[in-house]
Amino acid sequence: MIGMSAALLFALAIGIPIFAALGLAGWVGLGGLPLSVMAEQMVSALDSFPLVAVPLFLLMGHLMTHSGIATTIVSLANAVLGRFRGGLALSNIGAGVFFAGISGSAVADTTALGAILVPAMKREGYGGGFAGAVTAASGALGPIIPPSILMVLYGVQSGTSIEALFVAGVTPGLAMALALAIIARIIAGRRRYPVHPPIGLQETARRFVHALPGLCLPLIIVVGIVSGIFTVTESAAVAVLYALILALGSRRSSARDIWRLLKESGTETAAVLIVIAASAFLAWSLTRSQVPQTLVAFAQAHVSDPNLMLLVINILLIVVGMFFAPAAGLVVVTPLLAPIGQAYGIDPLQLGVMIVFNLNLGLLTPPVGISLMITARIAGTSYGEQVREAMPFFAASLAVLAVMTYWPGFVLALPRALGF
Amino acid sequence: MELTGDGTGGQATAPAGPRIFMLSRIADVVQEILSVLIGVGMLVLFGSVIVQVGGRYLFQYAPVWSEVLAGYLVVWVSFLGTAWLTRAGLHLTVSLVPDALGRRMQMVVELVGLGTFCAFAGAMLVAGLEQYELTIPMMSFGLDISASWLYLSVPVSAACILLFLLERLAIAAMRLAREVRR
Repeated sequence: MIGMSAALLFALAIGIPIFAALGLAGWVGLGGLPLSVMAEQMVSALDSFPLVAVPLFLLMGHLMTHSGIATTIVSLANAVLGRFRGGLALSNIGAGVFFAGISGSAVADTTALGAILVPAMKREGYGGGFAGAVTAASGALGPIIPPSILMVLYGVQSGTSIEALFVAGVTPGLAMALALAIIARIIAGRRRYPVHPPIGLQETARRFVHALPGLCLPLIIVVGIVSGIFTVTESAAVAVLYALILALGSRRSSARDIWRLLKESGTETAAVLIVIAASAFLAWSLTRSQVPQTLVAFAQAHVSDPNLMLLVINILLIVVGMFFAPAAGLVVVTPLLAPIGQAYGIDPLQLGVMIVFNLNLGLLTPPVGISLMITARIAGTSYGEQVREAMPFFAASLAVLAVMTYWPGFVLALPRALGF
Repeated sequence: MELTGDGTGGQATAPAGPRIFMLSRIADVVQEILSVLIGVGMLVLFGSVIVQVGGRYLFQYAPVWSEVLAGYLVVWVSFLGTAWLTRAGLHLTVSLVPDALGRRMQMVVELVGLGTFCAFAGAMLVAGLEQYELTIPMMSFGLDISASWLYLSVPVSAACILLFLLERLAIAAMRLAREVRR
């Protein structure tokens, strides 16, 4: 175990790709066994039908963004929420909720929303730091509200139902959106950010009709899955077909664009799935060395209270999220945390949503905070200002995390009610 | 997805010297072929799942091969994409330590990193070839082809990664040598 840890830390410290660092650590743990085990474990981890959903959801997000659907959703959100103080910030969060149902990736959501809303908010007199921070926070809703690529990854790794995970993410995602909206409204009130004149019912209806094709996509996915018509992977393929029709119908996308998006989605798939493959190999080496069992025994010897263990898990995840991209962090911690969760009687659905939610917060925290880096660039502010402005939103998200940690029913009620 | 530069150069272009120029041209061609294969793989993957859904609801028959093919393609797209990302310098990394170093130390760490990455890619190549040979007699359920086709993705990817790393190692070594002379 010491050799594997040392190899992993050394490889990460010198900045080699995470998948290679994980693979090296696994290789060290292989001992005298044949190297073919490495290829066998890496390939087996990826040869799974549920994982096919990952490239399809990525492709769907690209197609929807390219078809200009983001503009129609932002426009509708403005019509509904723009009349309140800080209306553009509230629109930003509202659009984030709908966008989360379209792409499932926080960085994609932040980039798409930021490109439209941050310049508009700055023009209206909002501070660049605040505009960027609220965009990064609403973009972070992406992996919590279904569909979620992170939940697909957790489901595949832990053997938990992905359909149930999708449903379990709905309540925490909406609660986070509400918490973000409350914070945005308070800050907007204190700073006297502008109020827009209300938009008439007819104009709101017109914008709704324009946004309707985009709004239908999350419905296709969620209703298709919950009603049992499609598996997660099949719903992703149907969603891609729908997005493809919208993209071609919008006349913004040519066959050449679609070809480019296919290639981009393929390489983004590889960036995530190769980390899964390498972590599966490392997990095999760790299991062979009985590391998860040792960790569980160590945890049970030192922490008897499940509530305290939940606190320890959350602190660990926050630290991991500060340094790792969410997908990478997730595939590293899941094989270690799943047996601990089982030993302490934590429901795997609750643990999964907690892991996804928590690691996702890393997008809003230094030193890595990728979403804040993106919004700093779009808003033309410093990274430090983005971090400062994001802190109230981070604190609000932590409050939601605390609720879902210590009140399992908050996460589990909806999936249980729907028979999962 | 969070794609960050992997701190080891990325999208390397040949700065000088005919040998690296040749290597870079070969790498360009290989990267372009990978890009096309990834695009085709994604298209067929999407098509095979649609066939699965369409077959079940329109013809009350879901072909077994479509699910197996989709699984194979995910593996191939992932491994070919991994090689492509190596050339583009877009793998997920934690680059805090290299970022905090001075210019010359960064170059040294880059060389060590590339060497370590090469060692892993070499291990992947050997592992993939061994597993490929082991699985030649096994038939894949649903596709009626050897299961070794699935594992072939590993050595193909590893060989491409090694080619790209070789180019980047040469460029990094030349940069460091130039820096030392200065």
